Amino acid sequence: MAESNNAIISTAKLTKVFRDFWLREKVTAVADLDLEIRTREVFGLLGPNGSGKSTTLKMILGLLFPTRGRISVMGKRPTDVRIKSRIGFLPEESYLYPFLNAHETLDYYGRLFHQPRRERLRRTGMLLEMVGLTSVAYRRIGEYSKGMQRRIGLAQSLINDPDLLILDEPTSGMDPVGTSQFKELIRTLALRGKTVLLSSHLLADVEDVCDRVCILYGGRQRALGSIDDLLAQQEFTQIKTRRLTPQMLVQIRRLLENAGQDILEVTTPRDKLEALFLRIVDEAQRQRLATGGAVATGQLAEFLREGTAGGRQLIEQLVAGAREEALPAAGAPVTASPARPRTEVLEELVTAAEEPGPEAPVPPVVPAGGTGTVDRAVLDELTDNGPEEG
Amino acid sequence: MRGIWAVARYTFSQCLRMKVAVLFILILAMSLAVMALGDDPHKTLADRIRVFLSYSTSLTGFLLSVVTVVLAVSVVSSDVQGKQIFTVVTKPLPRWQYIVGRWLGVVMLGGILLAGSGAAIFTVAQNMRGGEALNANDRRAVETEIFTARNKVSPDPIDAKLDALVAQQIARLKEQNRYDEAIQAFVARNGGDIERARQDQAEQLRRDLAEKLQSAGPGGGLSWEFSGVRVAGGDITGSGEVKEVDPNGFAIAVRAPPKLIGHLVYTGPVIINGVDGQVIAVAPDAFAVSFTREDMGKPRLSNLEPGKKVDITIPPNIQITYKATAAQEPSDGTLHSAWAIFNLARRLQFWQSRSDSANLPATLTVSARLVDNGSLTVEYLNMNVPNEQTDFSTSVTILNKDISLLYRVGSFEWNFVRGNLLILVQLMFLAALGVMAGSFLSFPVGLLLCMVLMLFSFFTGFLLEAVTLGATPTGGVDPLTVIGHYAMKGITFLLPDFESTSPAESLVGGLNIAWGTLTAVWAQTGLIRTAMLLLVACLIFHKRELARVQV
Repeated sequence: MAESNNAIISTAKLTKVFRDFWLREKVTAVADLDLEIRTREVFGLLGPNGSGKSTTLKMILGLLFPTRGRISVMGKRPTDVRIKSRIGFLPEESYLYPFLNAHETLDYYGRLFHQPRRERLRRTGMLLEMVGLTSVAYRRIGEYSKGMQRRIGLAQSLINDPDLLILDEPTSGMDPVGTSQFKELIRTLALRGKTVLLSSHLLADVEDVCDRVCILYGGRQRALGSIDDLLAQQEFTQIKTRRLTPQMLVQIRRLLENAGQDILEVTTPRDKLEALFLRIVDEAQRQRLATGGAVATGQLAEFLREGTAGGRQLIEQLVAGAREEALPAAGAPVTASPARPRTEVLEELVTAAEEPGPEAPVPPVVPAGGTGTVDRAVLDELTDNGPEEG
Repeated sequence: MRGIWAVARYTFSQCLRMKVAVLFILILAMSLAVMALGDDPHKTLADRIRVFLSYSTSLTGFLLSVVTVVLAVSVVSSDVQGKQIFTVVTKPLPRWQYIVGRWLGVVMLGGILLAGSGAAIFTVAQNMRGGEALNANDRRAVETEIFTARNKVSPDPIDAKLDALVAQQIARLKEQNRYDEAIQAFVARNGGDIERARQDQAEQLRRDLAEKLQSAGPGGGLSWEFSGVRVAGGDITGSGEVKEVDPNGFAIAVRAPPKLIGHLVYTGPVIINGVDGQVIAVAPDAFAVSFTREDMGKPRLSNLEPGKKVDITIPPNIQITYKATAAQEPSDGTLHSAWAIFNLARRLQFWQSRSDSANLPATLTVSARLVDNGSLTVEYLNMNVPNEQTDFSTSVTILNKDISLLYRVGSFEWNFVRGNLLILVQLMFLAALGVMAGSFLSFPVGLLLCMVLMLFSFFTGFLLEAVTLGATPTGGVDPLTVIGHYAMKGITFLLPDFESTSPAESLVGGLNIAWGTLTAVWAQTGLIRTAMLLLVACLIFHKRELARVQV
């Protein structure tokens, strides 16, 4: 197995074949999977249902044994108990004991990590605060909603401040607030140098947080690489600026025509529904409106912020910086642009914008319906050409 | 080990919250209430207490066994089924610690329920003990046959005597040249070979002679030797109040608590203010003691007067229990007998005429002073002979297995504790069995397996007897019986015999559960068998995949 020095998980020809009672081969869930997950990265396993994501995670955790191939987690076998103290795991559903309350649950898992009583209490309190379950900490988990169970499931996976966090469908069942906070948490943990391995079929979530992804289908690896590499459309350039007048758009079109380019799409970006939702909930929470559900502070538990890399202040600065980069400001367009803009074109655009041209009639700008939903009429008008001419 | 304790603690909480404990308490309380309602006040107090102890102890043992098995199978299999195991074994907890922790948690709950129900049973029994006895014999039975811990000694075996008699009989037949003739006749009648016929003939002869040795014709007698009787201390002490003094008859009457009077034996010894006397009468609340003229004149007795307090010491007693079977049923159901017990070294003797119900167990209580250096000779005289009143006569059989000698070696309280420790070891084994089944089977299948094995354990004796190896009438052996016999032998090696270690019979009969017996059961079942099951469970759990395919 070719294993680089900073690989925290590596698999070589990992295969899992499930057999029936008579040991006949029933299905190959994972086939010849070669993975190398590096320390300090957020790695996503993507794939449709039944693609082998969960099976791979379970083999990494030692819950399933490979039929062929090898797995190394922190240089040891997955069943080695010594590595478990550095791993946090959130299963696809929060399989917790319904007869325990949230406080007892975290206390129990804290005990399994041999944490002293005082430390257990401290971490339990912080995690409950972090996932917004302090007010319902003494209610039995069996009485929790699915989303609340996910939250307590997340809390249990963090009780040991793990170096490697393995998350199986982490945002399944979570409301947008929880999902947003969850993604924020992953980013923060990554900044703290933690490794996160998550599986999901919610592509937007993965795209938001992962450094690298592996796409599985039928148990086989179909694509592997960084998000930027996989998603960048190198043949296009996207420019984001304040709203332009119709005259300015005409000027831009002319400018581009002179440069031998054409505008393919002009849209007014829309806010993401997630951002709108989060603003409304945030406002309600500020007004302290009553709710029987989870009320998360959104603040990371203190012990998760206590890092070794530069101390708390640095971490918070990093987190704040990451927040600005990662989360869209209220009302701002959300269109990630991985491709670097060409500066000379930008300069010309700015100059042209200051000198509006009155001549050409300017078509109305329609809001974008999302990627690939382009109003051809607008483009046609911009280019003064019908579709047949362009 | 902290992992084991963490799992055990939460298993305990889980089991409590499954409301199984509440259900157990409810069923036990309801059963005790039903028993109380069905209590017959016309029965002797001893019988009522025996019934209570028997049912409550057996019921507690059985219910707790079922509860333990259900919980033990459930806690492991439901974790796998419900996938909670994912979040547990991905923590730094070795799988064997999870298994042991689960087992320990179930045992902890079983132990606490056992302690609670034991305390309740003990309290109710003590409360019943304070009730009113029908008569002095009833009170004595309560105090000396139930609320005590006695050793049981069987009479010296008659095997050697029988062997000698059989050999003598065969030699006599051979001398008369009738032996071969008898064997030929046996072969002609039953088939088979000569050697087999010799064996069968000898066995038949042995059975006939054994019956003769254990039967007494009208006016005839039987005799038993008991050895190894080690009555150590065990004086019962207390105080009473002088009721009456008869200076001329050299006797005093003393009023005393029923618990003390229960230990007195008619004509047995009693020590009043340190002076030896003999019991001459026993009533439910008082007794009379006679002294020698010389002792009566001692200052410790001479100044006694009604109302004065006296110290009472009752030396230990022994009991002889027996069951006499009549060849012919007496019309009034009563058999008459005379019993004699001697201690020639001490010049003591006990003689008593008795009338007991035929074919039912009876008890004769005598002073332990009759034991002579660990030995005792008991003689029986069959008094069922025709006389002026009746023409009825019968021979009486008292088999060696139907007569035994009992003597007090400890208190009921500690015996009760040991009895409960026997139940606890039973629960430990069953919890291990349940955890083992749950480690690789689903709940219903695991429970079924455990219930079957539990029933085997409860009825081991019966099942072994059912497949005892024996010759068919033609002298052959049924191969199915052989297979069954050795299969049962194997099972009984692996499974404990709950029937023989059940404390109910001992507690009801006031029989001592020796620390040695308890230690042996704990070693065999609590340590070896339980550890083996846990080891198997740990191995299975270590080797198995805990997740399922979902593709």
